[in-house]
Amino acid sequence: MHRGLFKSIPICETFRRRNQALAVLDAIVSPDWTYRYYSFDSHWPNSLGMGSMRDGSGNYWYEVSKNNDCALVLCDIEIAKSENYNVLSCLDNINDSFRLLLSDPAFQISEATQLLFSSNSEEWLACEEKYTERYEFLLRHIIHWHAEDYVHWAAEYYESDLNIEWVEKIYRFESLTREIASAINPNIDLDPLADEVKTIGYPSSL
Amino acid sequence: MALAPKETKSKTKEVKPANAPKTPSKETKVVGGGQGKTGGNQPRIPGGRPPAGLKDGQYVVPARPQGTGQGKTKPVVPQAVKLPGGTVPKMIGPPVPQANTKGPQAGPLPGPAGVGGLRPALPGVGGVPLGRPGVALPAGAGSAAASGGAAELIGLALKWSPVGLLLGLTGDSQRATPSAMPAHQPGPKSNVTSMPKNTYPQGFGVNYTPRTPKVNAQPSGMPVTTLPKFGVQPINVTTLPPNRFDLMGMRPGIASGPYANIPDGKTVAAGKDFTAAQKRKIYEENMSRNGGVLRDDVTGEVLVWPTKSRSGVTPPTNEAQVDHIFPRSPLDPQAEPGSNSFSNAQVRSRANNRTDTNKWPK
Repeated sequence: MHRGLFKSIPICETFRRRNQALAVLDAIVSPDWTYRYYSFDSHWPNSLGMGSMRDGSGNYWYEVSKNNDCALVLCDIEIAKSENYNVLSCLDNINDSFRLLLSDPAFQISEATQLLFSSNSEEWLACEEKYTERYEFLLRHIIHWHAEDYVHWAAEYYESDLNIEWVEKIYRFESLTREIASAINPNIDLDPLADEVKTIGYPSSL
Repeated sequence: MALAPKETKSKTKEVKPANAPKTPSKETKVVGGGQGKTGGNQPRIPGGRPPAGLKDGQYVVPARPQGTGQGKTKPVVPQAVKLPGGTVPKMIGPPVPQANTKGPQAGPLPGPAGVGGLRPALPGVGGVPLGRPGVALPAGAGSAAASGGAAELIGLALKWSPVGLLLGLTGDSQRATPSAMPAHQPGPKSNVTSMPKNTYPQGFGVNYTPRTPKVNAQPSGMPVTTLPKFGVQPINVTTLPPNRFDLMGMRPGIASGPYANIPDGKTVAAGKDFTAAQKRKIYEENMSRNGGVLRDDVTGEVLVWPTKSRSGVTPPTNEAQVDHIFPRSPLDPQAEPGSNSFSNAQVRSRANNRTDTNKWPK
């Protein structure tokens, strides 16, 4: 494993919370799941939850954690096309708890171009030493935790002008209220959103 | 823990022009040598057998026939040329720019003289190495000049244009010598000379002083080759990145994919992701073209909508994705990032997006 290459990625618990916040924001801004980037399923079996980012063009990551172990499965589509990667050999060098985490076929381990592992809130260890900056780009919203970054990105991607004041409340992990949800997206249907937020595991009073 | 590097597999497929001969043929002519069908002795194609009467390391360069019109030709007097080292080099001619020689295009390949080999009598047209260096092509002015789609098209257009016909570029007829071209100076009837690599024997075709093509490095790393002028307009061809496209009139970074008909908004820029609204339009357009079914734009495979991950379920390989034809973030730092223009989009299955080269149309 390679140490120190992904120091900027937050530790497991922080990662998970940020992922949940981003998933809630996406669920509010984009009721149609197809076009969302961020998702989180707090009911993922045998885990503390599974979060993901999918950009719809082949880039993705999955984060899954259990107890003190956290695994991150990443795929950069251009690296995948180049076939210049090998993460499967990493699986021989990880402990059984990680192996169990990644055994779910939903993660498509064979197609991943990078695997990261973290135990006991220590820094992430990477299988591949190459293309570090590319993965940090895929994780940019998790790493750079600034509400204005999401607002700026949502203005481009969703073409939605979000009020940063309300977005910051989600970034601070404040409980989601009808007021916040409606302020972020006046057209949001709150009932389906409530179900989604429950799945995400984000605190809510909807 | 050290990780064993994975053997890197190249997905590069050998690009071979459709009209390229599978094996060098003894019938292949020296393009521009002026011999046409009446060329008498045929030159030795690199890698082929020497004509009768010549030792290995020698081959016959047919002299250009007298007369430049379309009428009868006078007998040709062959010239034998001994090549250095007693072997026929695979490629003779001015150095060809190597800036874009990744993959199978790289390196000289044996081909008919006049392409990778000897320069033809009509430099600037038939002998201009417009395409990738070293790709074997059959004799024939325009097509010999080009080694890829667009360059080949340009060659064909020249070939059959009035100018091309005037210049006798069809390869079947006698070459007309435009007034702008230097008059033919026939060489000795039989002259065995030592011909250094990358030079031309005097008396062959026209008196041609080889020049090194001027290569202007582009930001994307793609060379633009400007060739000597010989009575025709110079042709500039910008080559495309390897493994990205066949030449289809496209320029690097500017694709004309299946959704180029959809007008772009103001937010289009290099290195950007497609927006949610763009993806929606692309999928809608795809389905409207396919009777309400989502299909891979290259293979035609029926696709399914992306869905949430479910534990224990492998994501379907035919899940739809919107791919950047020119990658948004290419691995090669010298390559120009593709934009989020509709013209740079194509719908692919998840499996095809990561395994196929991006080709549109198929």
